[in-house]
Amino acid sequence: MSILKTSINTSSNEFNTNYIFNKKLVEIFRKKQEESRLKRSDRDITRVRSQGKLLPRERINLLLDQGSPFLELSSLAACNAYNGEAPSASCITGIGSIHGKDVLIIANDPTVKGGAWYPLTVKKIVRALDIAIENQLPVVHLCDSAGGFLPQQANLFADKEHAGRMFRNQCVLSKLGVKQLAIVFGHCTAGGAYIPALSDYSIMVRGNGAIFLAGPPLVKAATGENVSAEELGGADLHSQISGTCDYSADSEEQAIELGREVVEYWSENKISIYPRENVSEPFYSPTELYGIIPNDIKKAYDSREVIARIVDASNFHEFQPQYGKTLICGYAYIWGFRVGILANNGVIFNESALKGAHFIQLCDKNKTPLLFLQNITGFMVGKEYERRGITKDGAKFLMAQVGCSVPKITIMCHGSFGAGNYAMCGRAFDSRFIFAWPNHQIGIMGGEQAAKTLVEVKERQLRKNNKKINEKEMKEIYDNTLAGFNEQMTAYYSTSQIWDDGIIDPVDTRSCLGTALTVISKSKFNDFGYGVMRF
Amino acid sequence: MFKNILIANRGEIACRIIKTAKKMGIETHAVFHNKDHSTPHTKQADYSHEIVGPNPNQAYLDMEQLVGILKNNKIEAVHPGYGFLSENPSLPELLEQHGIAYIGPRSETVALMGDKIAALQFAKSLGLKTINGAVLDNNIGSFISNCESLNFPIILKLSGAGGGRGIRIIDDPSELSQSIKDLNKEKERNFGSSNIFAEEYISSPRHIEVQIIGDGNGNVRHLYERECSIQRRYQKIIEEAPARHLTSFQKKGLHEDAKKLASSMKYLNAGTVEFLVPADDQNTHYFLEMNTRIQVEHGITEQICSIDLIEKQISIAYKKKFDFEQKDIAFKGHAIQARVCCEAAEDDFKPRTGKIDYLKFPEDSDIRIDFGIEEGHRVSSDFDSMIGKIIAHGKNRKEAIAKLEKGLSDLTVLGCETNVNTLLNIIRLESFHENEIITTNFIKQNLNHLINQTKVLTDMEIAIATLINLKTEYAFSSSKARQKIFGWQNKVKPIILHDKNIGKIIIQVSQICPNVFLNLADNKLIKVESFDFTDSSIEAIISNKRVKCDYLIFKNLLHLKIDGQHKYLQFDKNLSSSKNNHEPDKNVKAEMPGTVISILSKAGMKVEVGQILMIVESMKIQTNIISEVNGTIDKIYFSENQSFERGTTLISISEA
Repeated sequence: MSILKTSINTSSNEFNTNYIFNKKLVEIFRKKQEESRLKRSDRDITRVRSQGKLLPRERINLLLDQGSPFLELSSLAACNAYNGEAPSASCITGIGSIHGKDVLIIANDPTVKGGAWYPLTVKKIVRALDIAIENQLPVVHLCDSAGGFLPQQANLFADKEHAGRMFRNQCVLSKLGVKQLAIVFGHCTAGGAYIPALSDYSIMVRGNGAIFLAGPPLVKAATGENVSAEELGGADLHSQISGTCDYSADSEEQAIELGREVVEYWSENKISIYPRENVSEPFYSPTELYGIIPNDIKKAYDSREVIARIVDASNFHEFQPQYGKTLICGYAYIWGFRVGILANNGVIFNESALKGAHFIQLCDKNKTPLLFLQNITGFMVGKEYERRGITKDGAKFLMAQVGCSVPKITIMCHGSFGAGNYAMCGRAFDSRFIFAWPNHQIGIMGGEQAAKTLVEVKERQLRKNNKKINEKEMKEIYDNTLAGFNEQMTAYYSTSQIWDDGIIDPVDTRSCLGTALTVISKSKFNDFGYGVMRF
Repeated sequence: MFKNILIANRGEIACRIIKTAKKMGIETHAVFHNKDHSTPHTKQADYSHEIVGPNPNQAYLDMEQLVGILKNNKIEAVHPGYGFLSENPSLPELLEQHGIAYIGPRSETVALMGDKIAALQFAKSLGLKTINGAVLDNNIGSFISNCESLNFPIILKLSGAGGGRGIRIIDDPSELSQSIKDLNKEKERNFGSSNIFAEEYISSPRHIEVQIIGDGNGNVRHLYERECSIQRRYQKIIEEAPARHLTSFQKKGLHEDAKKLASSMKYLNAGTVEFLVPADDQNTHYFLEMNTRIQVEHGITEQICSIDLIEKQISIAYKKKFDFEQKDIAFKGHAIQARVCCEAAEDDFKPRTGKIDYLKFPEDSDIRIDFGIEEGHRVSSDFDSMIGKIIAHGKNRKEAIAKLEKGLSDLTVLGCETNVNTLLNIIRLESFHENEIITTNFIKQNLNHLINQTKVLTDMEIAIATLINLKTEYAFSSSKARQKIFGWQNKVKPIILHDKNIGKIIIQVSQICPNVFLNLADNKLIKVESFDFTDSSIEAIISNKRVKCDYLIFKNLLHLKIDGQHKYLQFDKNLSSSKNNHEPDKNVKAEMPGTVISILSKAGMKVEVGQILMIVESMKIQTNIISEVNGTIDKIYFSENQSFERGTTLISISEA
């Protein structure tokens, strides 16, 4: 292995322009993230405090080991939805360690509409539980939620991936032997009651914590019975009489300390891959990524420059460097974990697709997790490439990528368009983690291509019906399509919809990948076989 | 010689006796209560027998069980050690009935000297000087008037009590009647057959005692004197031999008086005659009392006289005949003993309990270590707080001090607070080294200095404590790469070190890999260049200085041994602003395990802040349980003589 050579001139105008541009993007991202994490009305904070509660991040801080890094997921979920009413989709999810064991934390945020579940809250929690299932990662639920947000019930209740999926996932986790602990700080009403009930271990805080299928108002309405929350489903009732919870605590701190103690006795998973011991930071500074990422989605960059600023010691062993050169393949280490990297250096040609499929199979046999660095406009189109079977070569790439047994991680570095998103392991392809840079754009095709395509279709239609083409009308179609695409293609739109597991500062890529790989290393790999490849 | 002996004792003295008996080829039998299961004395003895009782103390005092064991095992002699049955005249009497030898004086001698008043009168009749005093015989009125004619302050004592118990100092005659009442209560509880007597209080006394040994036929040898003036709570902690600041004439007077007392009783076996020498009148010495047993501090006499006192005790008990002459006994050099006790100087030398999970003795063969415990020992409130002794012998006092200092510095006891620091502080005091006369006021006079020594926490100690905290919080258990992003997207909780003398120290850790950086108040930064944990010690380079430290952590308590000093620290939990909705009751909880002595309150009673609710006894120390609130007593959870564990609720009060 050797240190990648760089052709970046850090004192060039181009580098400088990009640097300022991306730095600004990251500042905007940081500000949004900060607001989403912490900005709440005084009223909400006061309400929670006056109930004698800690804020959710304080709970997480107490729960985790001293200084444990926290890989927060989807911090900007719902940032473009519900008029910004549900920052972070009213919950916090992420990975940290308790007594040295990695756990996934799902914490309701009572400062956002009492921790009510919006459709995107449900999606975020379901995704977190999916991560737990895929990685056999124990879960700690910090429950403090008002339950489903009723005005949105049609979008969160009945469908396959709606609220029921949370409980289904909890059952699956338990079946797989992946431990779950629920600490109940507030009310868990109706569906919410199942979260502690389906957890292997549960702790309730006396006074504030309550679990019931129907709260006092509903009981009153249904049966006329007058009952207090404490009597109906308080900590003492459930820990002494009903057996719905295992322990009760006098304060949140005590409950959290007890929770830490419960986790202390959890067994740990078998390790699938061990990291190397000696880990060097990249030879090139990760902050140079700001100067490498172009300030325009249409501009290209050399992916090797990105790899050089992510991997250990900037060491990279490139596979088939002279073949299918628009897809860079090769081995590197991150935090000592060996990874097989696939990174785009332009549109995918037949050879690039074949090389990719080949490399994935090598990594599969080499027990090497895959890292996809997406910057893709799609597969090459045109008569020549169809004649050479670009579609069936792309299909082989997909077959290999879906069929392999090794875990996959994806970073949305820049563009992610068309079938390229799929081939490079987009959301539908079960990446264990997907992180996105703030500059990233995503869509079925580029906005301009889409607008041009729609105008072209419209004109063809008009011509066919011998109608006159109205230039103004065409421009309107073009502008509207472009505007729509531009809005929906942004990293924020994508992350708001939880198409990824969160926007990250490019400089943090290494920390995110390292943490993700640590989690993956303690999980089982898949045992899928390959589908039929069309040769 | 005896074929076998039984040691009716425990701890270091049992071990000490077993050691000599083995050397003499005598088979040894130990006894133990379940709380002493597997302690060293039970393992070192050839045989050990379990004795039972509602509490260990009662078991060790149970003569009936003892006789059963003696008969069943055909044991020929009993050594009582010190404490427990050692000054009970019934034991030698009972043994005689069964034809078993007692390694100690005759029953009547023990009885005579055990009664302090009779002993004083006996000594007086022989012409020994005693302190002016008065004895209470039924008529309190005449006792008070007798007392009033003495020079105040005076001291009230119980004739049957020892070891600093049953003592009241009276500054003014007006306090007399209340103190007599108090003392009567204590007498009823612990020293049934005692009498109360009064003595004039001597303000700057030295405690000098003479070791004697008698053959039972009126022949008595002395083994020089010991100086035992360094005391706290009326109990010795540092003793030395020979005594300083006494002319050979003065010493001779002491030795002769001791011999006179003993020979007039035809004293048998080893004993100690205690005298009080006023520092301002060294030509006078008052007889205080005689201890008819081996003393805790016998070791220093053994060192300077090159003699095995236990061996002499056993052989005298067997042969009733000396095998040495007075002229054979010469002393060489100077010896000092320090008693290692589980206690806290800054808390009025109150005993501490705990589990000693780390114990390392000095490896130096030049120091004598008499301990009766080993790693894993539980220090409970059932027994005396002394766990062992360190004895140094040098060609002169200076050398003895140096050896003792090294021995104490090399001793590591973690898991229970001990007085090792205090002992070191004492022997490092200038006034201890210099040619000053040391009186029993020594500790009181130097108290501030003795405690002040432990009031500083160095950067080194702070850094070590932080590293241990980080380790127990798993900060170093992840990969190096992960350690580098310590605190990423999370807050690093401040580490709060708590020391009752220093208060709170807040430490903020800014990085842990590759170096550890700590920020303290006043922008002070400490850098840990490297560190390495092994078993229960840590070696580190902190601010360019190498340090090695033994430690023990349990829950949030941290015990360190660093630079020869023991430190007892506590980590505070990071509690943030959350309130407890569920107010707990106003419970009065036990700070130490112990036994209820008397209850001065009852359910439904209105109580005020500061009111005494209950008296409890823990490790021989009585403490008042005081109300911290104004309110009404809800419930009292224990009755008199019941024992309780630390942290249990004794009384619940509902606030007014």
